Amino acid sequence: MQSRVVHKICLAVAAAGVALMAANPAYAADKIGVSMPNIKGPWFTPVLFGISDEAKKLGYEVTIQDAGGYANVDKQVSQFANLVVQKVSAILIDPANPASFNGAVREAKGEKIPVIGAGSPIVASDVAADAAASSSHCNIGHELAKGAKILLPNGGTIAVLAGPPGAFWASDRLRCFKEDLAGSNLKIVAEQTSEQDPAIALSLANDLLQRFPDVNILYGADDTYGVGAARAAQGAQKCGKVKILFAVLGEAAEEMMRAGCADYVVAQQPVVIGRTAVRLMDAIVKGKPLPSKSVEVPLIPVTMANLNSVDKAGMQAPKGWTP
Amino acid sequence: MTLSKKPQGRDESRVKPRAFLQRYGREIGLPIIVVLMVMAFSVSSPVFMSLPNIRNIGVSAAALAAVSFGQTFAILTAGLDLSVGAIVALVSIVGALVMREHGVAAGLAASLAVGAAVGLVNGLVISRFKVFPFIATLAMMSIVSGLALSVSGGVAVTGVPESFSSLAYARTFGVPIPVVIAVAALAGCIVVLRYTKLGRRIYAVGGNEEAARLSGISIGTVKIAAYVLSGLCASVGSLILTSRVASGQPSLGATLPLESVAAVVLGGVSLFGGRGSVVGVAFGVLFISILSNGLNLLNVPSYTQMMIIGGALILAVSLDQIFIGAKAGKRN
Repeated sequence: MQSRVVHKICLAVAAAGVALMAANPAYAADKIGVSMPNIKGPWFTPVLFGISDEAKKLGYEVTIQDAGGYANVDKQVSQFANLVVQKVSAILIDPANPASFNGAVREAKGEKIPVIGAGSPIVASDVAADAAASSSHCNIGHELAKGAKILLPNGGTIAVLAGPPGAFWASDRLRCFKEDLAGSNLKIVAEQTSEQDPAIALSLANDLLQRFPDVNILYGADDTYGVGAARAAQGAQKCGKVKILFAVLGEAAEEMMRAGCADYVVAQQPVVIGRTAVRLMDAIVKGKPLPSKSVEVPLIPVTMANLNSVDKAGMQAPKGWTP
Repeated sequence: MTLSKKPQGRDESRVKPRAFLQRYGREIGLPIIVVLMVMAFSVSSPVFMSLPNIRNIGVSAAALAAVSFGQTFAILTAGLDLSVGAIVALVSIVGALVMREHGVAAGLAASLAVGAAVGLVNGLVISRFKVFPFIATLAMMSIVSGLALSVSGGVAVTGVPESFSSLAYARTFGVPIPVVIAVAALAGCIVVLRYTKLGRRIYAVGGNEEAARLSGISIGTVKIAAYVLSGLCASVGSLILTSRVASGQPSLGATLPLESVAAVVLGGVSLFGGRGSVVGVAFGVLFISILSNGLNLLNVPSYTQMMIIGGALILAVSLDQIFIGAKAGKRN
């Protein structure tokens, strides 16, 4: 009986080997690599849709590498090195932390592989990107501060869901948000980082509402945190009483806004960012001149007043699309 | 008589390969699978066997290898060290801060000291307060992660000396330095486990704690030493990663606790302790690293990769159990 099981397992291993051998060799002259700290969620999915769709139009094959979270910086560096080894035509990257990519990006440049920021203006702290398409995280912070002032013209208190610990994008947004609030009558009473997980964000927002029942605004670093905050306000029947302010307009964020539980969203255009990054890459690969090495894709403040009129094609991937 | 003997002889000759498999299956199974996997990926991807890719696999595997070798000590005592990822993060931050202020040598010393210190606390909590290793190291993971984030303020520590950060990309005789460090760690662990009293005692404590105690072995001291070694190896892994990312990262090594346990189990070390070798663990590390690299080269989506790696782990452990069962059956 045991030998039969061993035999079957050996057959399964052999079959898996044959299947791997039969797999399509992913090696083509016009292959581009994409290195992301994460590929799920309302930010990365539309960026990847923009990249994939535009690359397909321009005749590129896309290899996407997913590090599985902002905490896995080392894994993203390894995956980036994998793309260099494959000698892809170009690499599009949103680095989990640019300070970690100096060596890896230098190696890519040594192999004459252009490196383009897709969602980040920089690819490594000490090595310049060949081009980049992004919305500045600092500008998002400024726009969020503008939103806070519009929501509370007479001042008030803010509790901050600051984003993942150690994530530079979240720190940049908050830093610039705080810079604009300095000297105003808006005061931050609480600030917490947490994993980028909707359930954890919801728990954290619930805790903040318990601790500060009279808080006027909940700030979310992006819509994972923002939607968590909106759901907490909904659960506490405080929609409209506690204003919810955050970045990125995904489908869930749109739903919460229609329910009256999200008040001001600084919407980025991730699909446009992805498409622009590919166009920049294409120009570099084909040796065409670039109008600008760094393209800043505009931010769109969204409230209930303009929710129906804004063009969401640049913000969200088609329903059901997955990377 | 003659008639009864003939079939027996035929049976014996037929049984031989199976008997060989039962005797050596656990030792040679994984290396054979690794070789088959290398062959499969070589056929599927023209880049797989290229020198840059082999170097790339080596560099990616080096940190996991160092951490897994340390994890082996903990598991051989029938324990577990879930704090290795957090140790990697704390060592990364402390090492980067000290290196920035006082130079590379001081940073290296501080890194190793921090890893050993956390291991010492783990060992003391487990042996003196009789806390289950799973709980003790889980709690320590949380404490040490929080400490790493507090010390760094939640942001990366930059300004690491270039003489250190360039190590991850340097080579000696064509071999990347991280690989050399991992091989040195492997050699050190082999020496400790095979040729020292401590190594034999670690196996004895993991194999049968009561028997080890009755034979005069100080169980607590052996366990403390095992966790200190685990912490030290995690420090080595952290230094490799910190050099690679050229900065102290408070979230470094998040996936290492599970990956290192997977590598150790794949390498044939029993989760019940007392059985297995660090060479097997090296093959476990190779298995995970080659599988991940090969699947990336084949452009297999990351979600599918997660399923394949999980499935491979179950398959390996099932095979292990079958071989153990087959051996036990043969003895009975």
